[in-house]
Amino acid sequence: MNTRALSIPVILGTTRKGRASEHVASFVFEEVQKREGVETQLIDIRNLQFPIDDAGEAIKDSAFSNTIMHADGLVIVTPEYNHGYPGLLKHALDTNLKEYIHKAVGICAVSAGGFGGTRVCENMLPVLRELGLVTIFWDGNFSGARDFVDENGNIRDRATHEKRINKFLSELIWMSKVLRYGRENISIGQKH
Amino acid sequence: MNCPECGAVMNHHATKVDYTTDDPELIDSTFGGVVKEAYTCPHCGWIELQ
Repeated sequence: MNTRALSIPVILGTTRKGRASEHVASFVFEEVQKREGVETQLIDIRNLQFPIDDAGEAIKDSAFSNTIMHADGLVIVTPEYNHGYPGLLKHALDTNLKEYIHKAVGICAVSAGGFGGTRVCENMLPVLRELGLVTIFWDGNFSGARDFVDENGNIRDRATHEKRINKFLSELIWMSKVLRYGRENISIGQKH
Repeated sequence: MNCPECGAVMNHHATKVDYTTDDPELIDSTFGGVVKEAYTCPHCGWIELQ
C-alpha cells in the first residue's frame, strides 16, 4: 500500500473583502495540520486570479491543478451568498476535471444567519458529484459568521467548533484513504 | 497505460462522461458526451483521463 502522506488542501472559496469565511478557513486549516500523516495547504481563490473572458479547463492554473492532482481529499470553505456559493468559487473549481475523480470532499459552510450555510451545502452537492468528487456525509456548519472571532481575533467557543470539526475531519480522512486505495488498486469492472 | 510522470502501470478505476466538448465527431450519442477512462498511478498518484 502506498505510504505517501495523505494530502488534503483547504480551499477558501470567496474573494469578497471583509470575508468572514477567512477566519473559518484558517481554523479548519489549523485543525487539518494537527492530523498525523496528513499534509495540507490553504488555497485562497483570491490568489488564483483566473480570467473571466473564458472558463473551464481552458484557463487552468498549473499550480492549482497540480495541487488538486496530488490531493487525496479536499475541504471547501464556502460562504452562503443568497443561498448559493460564490460564482468565483465555481469558476475556479471548473478549471479541473480529471484531477477530482474519485477523491473525497467535505464542505465547511459559513453563514451570517443561524442555519450554518446548510443551503449552500445542498446547492454544492450536485456540482461536486458531477466533477467526480465523492462527498462525505458530515458538513462543517458555521453560523453567525461575524461573531466567529472576538475583537482580538480569538475564536469564540473554540471547544465546540473543535469537537464538530474533528468528526468532520475523521470522516474526510477515512474517505480519502479508502478512495486512494481504490483509485490505485481496484480496477473498474474487476471481478471480486 | 503507463504513468507519464513516473512510468508505473496505472489503474483504470473510473469511466466518466466529459460534456465539455462541442465536437460532434467525439460525442457518443448514447451518453451525450465523450466517454473517457480515468487512470491513477499507484506510485505517484498522477491521474489521466482519456
